Amino acid sequence: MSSALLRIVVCGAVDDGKSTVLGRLLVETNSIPLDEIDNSRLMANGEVDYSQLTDGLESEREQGITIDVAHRHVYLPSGRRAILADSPGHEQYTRNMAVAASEADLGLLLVDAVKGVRDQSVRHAAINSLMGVKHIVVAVNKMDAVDYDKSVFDGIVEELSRRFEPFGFVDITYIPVSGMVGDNVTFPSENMSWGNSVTILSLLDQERTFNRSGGDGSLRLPVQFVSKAGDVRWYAGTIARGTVTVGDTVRVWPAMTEAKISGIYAPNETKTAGDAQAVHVTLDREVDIARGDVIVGATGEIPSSRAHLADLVWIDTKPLDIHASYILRSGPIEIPARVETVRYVRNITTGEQARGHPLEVNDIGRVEIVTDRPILLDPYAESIHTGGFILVDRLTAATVAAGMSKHPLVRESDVVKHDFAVGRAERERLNGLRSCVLWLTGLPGSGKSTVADELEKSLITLGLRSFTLDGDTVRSTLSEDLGFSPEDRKENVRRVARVAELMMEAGIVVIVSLVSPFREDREMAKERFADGDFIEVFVDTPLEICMQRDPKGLYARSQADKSMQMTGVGQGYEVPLAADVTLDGTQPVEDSVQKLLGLVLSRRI
Amino acid sequence: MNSKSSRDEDAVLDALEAEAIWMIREAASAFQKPVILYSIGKDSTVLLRLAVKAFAPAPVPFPVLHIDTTWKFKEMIKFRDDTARTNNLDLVVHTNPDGRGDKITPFTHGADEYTRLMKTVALRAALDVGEYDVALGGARRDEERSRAKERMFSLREPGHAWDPSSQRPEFWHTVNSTLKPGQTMRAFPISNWTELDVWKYIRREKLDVVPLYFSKERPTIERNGQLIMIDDDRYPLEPGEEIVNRRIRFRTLGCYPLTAADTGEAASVDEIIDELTRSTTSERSGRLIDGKGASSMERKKHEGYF
Repeated sequence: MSSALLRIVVCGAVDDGKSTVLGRLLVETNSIPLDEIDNSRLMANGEVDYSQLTDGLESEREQGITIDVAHRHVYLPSGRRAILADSPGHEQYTRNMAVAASEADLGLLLVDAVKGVRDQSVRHAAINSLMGVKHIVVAVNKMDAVDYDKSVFDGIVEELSRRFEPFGFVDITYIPVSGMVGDNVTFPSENMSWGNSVTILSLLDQERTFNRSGGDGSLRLPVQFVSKAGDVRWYAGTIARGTVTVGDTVRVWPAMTEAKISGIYAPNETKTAGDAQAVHVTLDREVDIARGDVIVGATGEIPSSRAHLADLVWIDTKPLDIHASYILRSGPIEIPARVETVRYVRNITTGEQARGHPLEVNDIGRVEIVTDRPILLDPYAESIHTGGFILVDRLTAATVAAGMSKHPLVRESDVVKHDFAVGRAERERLNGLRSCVLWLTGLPGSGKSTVADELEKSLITLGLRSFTLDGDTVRSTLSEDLGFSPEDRKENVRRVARVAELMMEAGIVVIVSLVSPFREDREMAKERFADGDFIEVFVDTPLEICMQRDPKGLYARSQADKSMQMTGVGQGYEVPLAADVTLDGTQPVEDSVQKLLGLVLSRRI
Repeated sequence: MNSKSSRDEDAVLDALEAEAIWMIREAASAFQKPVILYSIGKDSTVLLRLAVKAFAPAPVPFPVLHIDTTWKFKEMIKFRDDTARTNNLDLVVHTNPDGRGDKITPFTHGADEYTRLMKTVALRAALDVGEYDVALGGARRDEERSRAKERMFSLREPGHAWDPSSQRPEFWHTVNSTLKPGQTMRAFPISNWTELDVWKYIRREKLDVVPLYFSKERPTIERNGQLIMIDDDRYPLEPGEEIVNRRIRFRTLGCYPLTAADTGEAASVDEIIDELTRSTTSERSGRLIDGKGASSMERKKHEGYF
């Protein structure tokens, strides 16, 4: 949505000059009451000490701690308004930043030109990305201290562009500024003729379209309460996604009763209302609706399940207790919940995944969360208000975590299907082995198919049933309609993962041999499976060796035909950051087979 | 002002209104016993209007609480009672019983102690008596520096104490409304509004406000460089002090002996908005001409800002 009320999260490492830039922005836009600029805010020479304008609470100064996010208004020249959420704090910055970024449309990130790029800058960008902020303005500050040297700015832009690449920002704008002197804050710099005279203020005031909801765009109206005026029942809530119009057919989750909208107040009587509007609606028939129900569009899949995959930002000093029951709240929805599995804790700066790690304060973990009843949680990327949730400690009543749903997990107990007597467990017993998927990824020519073939031979010898889904075979059958663009590769991976899942249900050992060059695609495949069932195997062979081997002559062909989208040549290969097994492709193939065989046999029952 | 920016300003009000209504509804439904703290001023007037809109077409389902110190302007009390009557509100008025019969006054106890007893203590007692677990107030983040860090939903420990370090982080439209015994919540639906937003909303919604906001000749004295309006004969004059009719108005309203008047000329909502806007525009344009840094500050000093 295009927003007249722009929400901005402001971040930057401790001494990157954030207060000075912010103070100047407030003063130069007349956004700060003048009586706040008293003598104590002036320096000896009579200039305003901008860094002193945004200091915090008395008790913070007394206790020497930083408690909170500060909210400040900036009047933009267009008549629009920006609310800046200034997130301070050193130890607590993950929590504070997560709060400040949770509803932000745009992130303003300050980087110190003198000190250059630091890990904290990358971390701040990563938290923005995690919380769904996709538009970033990077202000390279203190340009005056590097003599307005363009090469310093260019160097920082180059490094950040590279390091921000995994975060999937929709747009990033870099500008050189000096908060101290006032270059490019609200006035175009006269000291940087090489710049394009863009200021922080003009960037904030730029007309943009923010899209924090997506998916199929169908209606999500969580019901806050039900009231009665005369004989009419009114359902109150704020539209989290989509639009509602008189005459629309809607469904009411969880009962999924259908009805038609027969009246709307938003807050005045109207025929239609949309995103972020606070409404009252009434239906054409009596429906049993209570607080926490969600009015949804007439069509489309509803991600309602007892189990969801989610990212959790842990904010309480008491770590996650895997056995405890917490209260999950998402808008008006309130349901008891447990965190059943912590798949991994992610180092947000490097992307590394640590397994078997407790979830502690400021950690970010990928978890499986299970609720007492099915809950509607949209993928966060498609709807922040119905995809975000918090966990509350029953004893202390503290908010202990903020969660962002990825997608529902299908548990057997959730699916209403024919009650087959034979399931995966029964089939596995025939094989004497808990089935699994070994997903072999690596460059073309790295030796995936050779390893797969040798492994199957050994399994057959042991009387264990298996099947190999080989890239080439799949390409000429299941995915014969697909090419090699990133989108087509993604779809290919999706199909192979789905087939592998079915075969695993058949109780056999499934070996996938697929280049699958993109981390995101492999992650998507992995997330389909319960913890431990999917084993990511990286066949690590240097590109030069793959090119020498070139068993199918592909590298030679790609040298001749530059338009070929050949992994390792025209297209990149993203090395797994947390493979379950890494095989050294330069070593004898028997070593690799033994390693995998050991893993499979450890699953005997 | 061109129509584009006027449209944007209207859209800002719409967004602020939607956020406030969401909060009022959440306070009403996630807690057991809500109450609106009504101080009769412009912010309370806006808050009441938002509450009416939050529940329309149904009526506001909870009471409105006024802490009466007995030293409010007479016009405020009249306005309060008129408002309650026309809006059909469940108005609860509480006064610290110790304050009756002028036992506690700003003059006998000093302004600080008087305020503590007649406002803070009285409010705590009224909330305890009513067993309210959430109290909605019209405070705004732009009012003063420390409020910039206030939560929308602000937790109070038993005894109504505010512990900044135990405040709950706020994510999305998801409120942790779980309260331990003795804990209560304050909710500030117009946290993100500015003074100008409040007046623009009053204009847009055509709301009545206490006439004291508008400039008019009123009986005043000057004490310690401030103009005090003499609202009744309880105000002890010091030797040499003389009641003089002056054109005054008020920017905020409270107890009349403790509220200094403003000599601003604004006599209507439009003129108040104009006064608030004009001061910023002239400064902004001034700054654009003067450039940045020391020179613009210097000029402000010449204009008498400090």
